[in-house]
Amino acid sequence: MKIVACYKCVPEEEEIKVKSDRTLDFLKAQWKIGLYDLNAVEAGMKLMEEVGGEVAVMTAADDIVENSKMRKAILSRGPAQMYGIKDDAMKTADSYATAQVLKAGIEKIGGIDLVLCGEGSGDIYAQQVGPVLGALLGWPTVNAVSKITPADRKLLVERSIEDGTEVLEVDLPAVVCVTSDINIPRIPTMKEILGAGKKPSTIWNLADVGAKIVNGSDTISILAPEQTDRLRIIFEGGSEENIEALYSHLRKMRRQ
Amino acid sequence: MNKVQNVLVVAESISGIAELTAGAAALGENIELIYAGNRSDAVNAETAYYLGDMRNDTILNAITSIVSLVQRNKPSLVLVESTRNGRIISATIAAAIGTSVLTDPSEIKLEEEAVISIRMVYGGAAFKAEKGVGEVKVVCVGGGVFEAGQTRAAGTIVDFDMGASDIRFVEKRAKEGKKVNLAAAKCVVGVGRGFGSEANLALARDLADAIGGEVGCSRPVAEEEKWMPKESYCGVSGVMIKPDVYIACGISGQVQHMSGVNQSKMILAINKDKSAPIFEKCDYGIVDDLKIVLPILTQKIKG
Amino acid sequence: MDFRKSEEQELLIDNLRELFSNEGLTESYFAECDIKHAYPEKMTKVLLENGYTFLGLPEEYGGTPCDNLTQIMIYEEIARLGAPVYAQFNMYIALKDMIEFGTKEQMRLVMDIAKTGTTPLSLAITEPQAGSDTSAIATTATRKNGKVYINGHKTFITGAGDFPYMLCVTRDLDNPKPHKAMSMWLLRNDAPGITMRKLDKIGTNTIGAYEVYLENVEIDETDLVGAEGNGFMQMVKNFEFERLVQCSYSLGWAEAAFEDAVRYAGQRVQFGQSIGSFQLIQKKISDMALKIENMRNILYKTSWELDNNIPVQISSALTKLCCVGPGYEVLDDALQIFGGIGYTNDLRIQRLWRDSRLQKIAGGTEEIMYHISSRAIIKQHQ
Repeated sequence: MKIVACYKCVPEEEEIKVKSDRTLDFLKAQWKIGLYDLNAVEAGMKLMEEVGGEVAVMTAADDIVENSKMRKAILSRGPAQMYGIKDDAMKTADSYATAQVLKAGIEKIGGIDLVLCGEGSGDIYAQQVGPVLGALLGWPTVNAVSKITPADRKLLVERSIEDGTEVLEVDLPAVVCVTSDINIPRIPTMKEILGAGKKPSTIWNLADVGAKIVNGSDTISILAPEQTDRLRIIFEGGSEENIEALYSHLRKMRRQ
Repeated sequence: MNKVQNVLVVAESISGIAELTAGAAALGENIELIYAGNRSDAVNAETAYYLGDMRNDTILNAITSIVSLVQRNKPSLVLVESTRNGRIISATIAAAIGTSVLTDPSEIKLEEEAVISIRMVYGGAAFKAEKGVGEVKVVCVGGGVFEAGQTRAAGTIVDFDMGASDIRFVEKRAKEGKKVNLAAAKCVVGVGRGFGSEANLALARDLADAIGGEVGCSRPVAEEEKWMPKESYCGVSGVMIKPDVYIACGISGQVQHMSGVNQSKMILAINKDKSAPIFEKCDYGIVDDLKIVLPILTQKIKG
Repeated sequence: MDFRKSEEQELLIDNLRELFSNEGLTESYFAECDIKHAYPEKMTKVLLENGYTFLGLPEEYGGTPCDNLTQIMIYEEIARLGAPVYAQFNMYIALKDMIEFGTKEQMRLVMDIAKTGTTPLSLAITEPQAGSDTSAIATTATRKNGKVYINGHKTFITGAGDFPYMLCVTRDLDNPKPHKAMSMWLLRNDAPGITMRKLDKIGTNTIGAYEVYLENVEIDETDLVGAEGNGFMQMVKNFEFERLVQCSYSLGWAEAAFEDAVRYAGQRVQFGQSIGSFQLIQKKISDMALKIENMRNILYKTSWELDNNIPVQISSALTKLCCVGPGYEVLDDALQIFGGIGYTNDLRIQRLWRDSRLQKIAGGTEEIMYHISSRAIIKQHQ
């Protein structure tokens, strides 16, 4: 099976700072591979180990595409190679634009049987790129997938939906978005980390894949919320008095 | 605020239908509804298109027909219930008409003719205000954003042909256990890793029963320890709750969890680690072992 | 000069942290192992399963070839997490030694044991009268009726009672040149004639040190490891790398203690201010930072020299002098900053302080390091 897992590099949320005008400062934030994307890569690796084939990874972004540490970080998880589509305008690309660029990349590689995506990106979490990509490719598209069983030219998938588990059969080629509990992504071994830098990386620009960045939405602002000042009254130790004090505050709130 | 002309709602649950059509009424003049479930679930819409009860099919197979209807009727605004299916339905509609879906807003408003969605990003660190491009806007809305309010009966109900299936339905297995509506709960007890073992969760349940509340949890409890189902996870990629009281027990207070609970009116925290971030983000807190504090607190509440 | 870690090194270290965190290898686990004098089985298993145990060994033995500097950084990180990293020391050394000198048979035997996560052998060199002075080794190997008989008394042998085999160094007492008279033999630690007594140490509790009595222990000619009479050269072959490994422990533990102490100095209030605002504490903090910086720089440089085939006889001895003594001083200052609670078992500082104190003695004392380095330096200048 020829599999492509899509991924996105995102800033470490804990390291994002808030400026005095409530806009965000990413300068000190380290990059990392989006958490849910690792589930997609792992799902691809498990399928490949079961039925043979190849797993490649693909990303569309600005300069971060070429970041050597990020490339090694994802290649050390097992995929054979990496494809990156690089353009500065990707910095402000929304899910619709991103899906179009990824679609062009998938079509350029050709012969792909399965595209795997995570639940959503680690930063924006719109949970749209996978579904839109599938719609643009015109392939059967499913999400919330918690189990994949391969068969001949098709997949049996289990979806964790609101009222239970739905079992569906989709023909390949297809786009499958996996849940975060479908697997536990493997921690790269020493060998994988040391060998990651040697795996092939193909970097394309928009012209190479014949794509344009066309946003389907406009961002008006991204601002940190107004500070709700919490009271921060902390009692040291669960003594009788302290618990009584806590309880009296609780009682006051519930009476309102 | 000028309402838009036509709003199309796509929903598959009773609460989704009621809430989204109520929201549609606030935003638009005419409402059409495409829905699944019981035929009688349709409310508030002038015309309602019934897909069926989805007991032996998946709503994903109706998408092609839904897209055709959107392309024919050209509503100004499409509101899709933010279920797992809804994400694919909205994505396919939006892709076909060349726009982006505005997903999971915590707030939607109209500014002149623009539909503005405000949603949480970067793990809860910020709110993004965005609007759709093009003549038809698509928004994927979750529970608790619109209030269902008084419903009125739907006008015409039409059976809607699902169209050709491209995905084969095999079976559906219903979920066991009662459905908990955390988003609507007035009091929530939060379970974190600090409980140490699944057996200790009884302490949280006792407390929740005593205050007449529900039990939610942090992500590690649902995904790693698997002591509670995923639906109980409150946080940026889970349920967003707005109770009067939230009692965080054994929870460290990382931003991914807090962004799901910090709209609570009052936050209490119990944690034995003095330096846990939760103590910066709560109103009242006790630094001690929850196994000691919870039974005493529960007892006091029971009176 | 680029002093940054390579991306691979950064990824390996990030991974190690994630691994330890995910697998429950945390402070409470390390403290428990120390208190119970228990070998860290779980940590050993995790390191083995994730390829860290056989790092630096050739692929044909299931290892991952890796430069010395990267290996040192990894041991440093394990120590920095507060882990009983020394418990794995013998595994690395044993395997490196056997690869150099063991026969194929001996290597296979040792690897089969190593693959299960058990350290295959202890190194029985030291004797009551022969610590720094290895020429005073008096354990003998006597040939009789086609067999070889080992007689002697070893002490401070790490893991002798826990590891199934023992690499025992004997000396031919008739040879006037002691350093050309030593041989290494592979013994089963439960062979008839071997009795042991576990020593009661004050630290490095997760691995025992033993007194070993060898009375007519019968072995075969084929149990000779390497060449007869070449034992001393074999012994010192990997000493230089071993010194660097010990330094990585001192460095990692110093970094851990430093982080704990600096944080505390900023929080602890006396006389209405944080103790970090008092000059004597400030001096300690800067001195600690300075020592750690020096330790790290010399350790990484010497590891780089080893990787680039530059002789490290002098620099490895100087590195040890720069690391084990100052490293212990950092631990001691950190404990002092904590004051009374630093002296209790509630904090990890006491464990790191006890464990790091050994580094000034084991694997070649500081005094010997001075001797080795200065003698060679003077010789260089003749």
